[in-house]
Amino acid sequence: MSILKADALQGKTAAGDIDVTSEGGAATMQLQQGLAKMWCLWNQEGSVSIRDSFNAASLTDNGTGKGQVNFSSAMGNSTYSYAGHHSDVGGGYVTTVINNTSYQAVNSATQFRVSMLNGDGYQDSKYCGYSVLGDLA
Amino acid sequence: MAGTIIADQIEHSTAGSLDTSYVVNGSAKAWVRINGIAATIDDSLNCGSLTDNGTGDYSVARVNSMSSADTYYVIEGQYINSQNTNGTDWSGTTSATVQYKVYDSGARDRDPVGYLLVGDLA
Repeated sequence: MSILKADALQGKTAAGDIDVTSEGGAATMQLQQGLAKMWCLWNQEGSVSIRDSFNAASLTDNGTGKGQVNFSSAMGNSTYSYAGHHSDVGGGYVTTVINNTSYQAVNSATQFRVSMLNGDGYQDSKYCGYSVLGDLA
Repeated sequence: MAGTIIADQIEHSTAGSLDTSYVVNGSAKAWVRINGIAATIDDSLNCGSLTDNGTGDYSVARVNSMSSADTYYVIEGQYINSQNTNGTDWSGTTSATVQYKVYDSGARDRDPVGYLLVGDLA
């Protein structure tokens, strides 16, 4: 087994561009672009708390069913992609609201906001898990 | 390519070590943020052109193909005024059909729709 020991990886031609070979060997992809830039599993119920996370400095409780993850390192823009879900604790349909002014769920480069609804009412969930993909600043 | 390092493991001086297989297998192979109203891509990885197939129905071409159509994905769309569901049909290794639907009133164009794909590249 070969081991590369390093505290940082940096592209030679461009510092922010390191390619990795695909599993099948037919393609290369940029390492940085494929990495999640933030992920967080948190409890939105009661006193909000982070269960586990990466690049999530803190949470802000904006009210029932309104979560906010504050990034440690900011994104380069607010148009990043995202994925995730929150648990259903009350039955019925669980709805995630992202990037909607009416529901106070507008993202920015420094924070990821999500509102959680069950039916048409806000709902705090014990298990909220989301990841962010895009460009760090 | 300017230079290549071949290694089975990466070791940080204080944060531990990681098999490089986790880097390759654990990285997202595609992600996209779609403006479903304008039928445009805001930002993406490994996604080419977007085709608007109709209300709430888009096709996204991949730049690099996946080795299998059996890949794990997550998709989220913006909420509107009713109870929602999101659906994605990754119909093949070279392109995807992303659909956004509402439970009680059918397909809807929304902005944004985000998705993440994890699996093996060809």
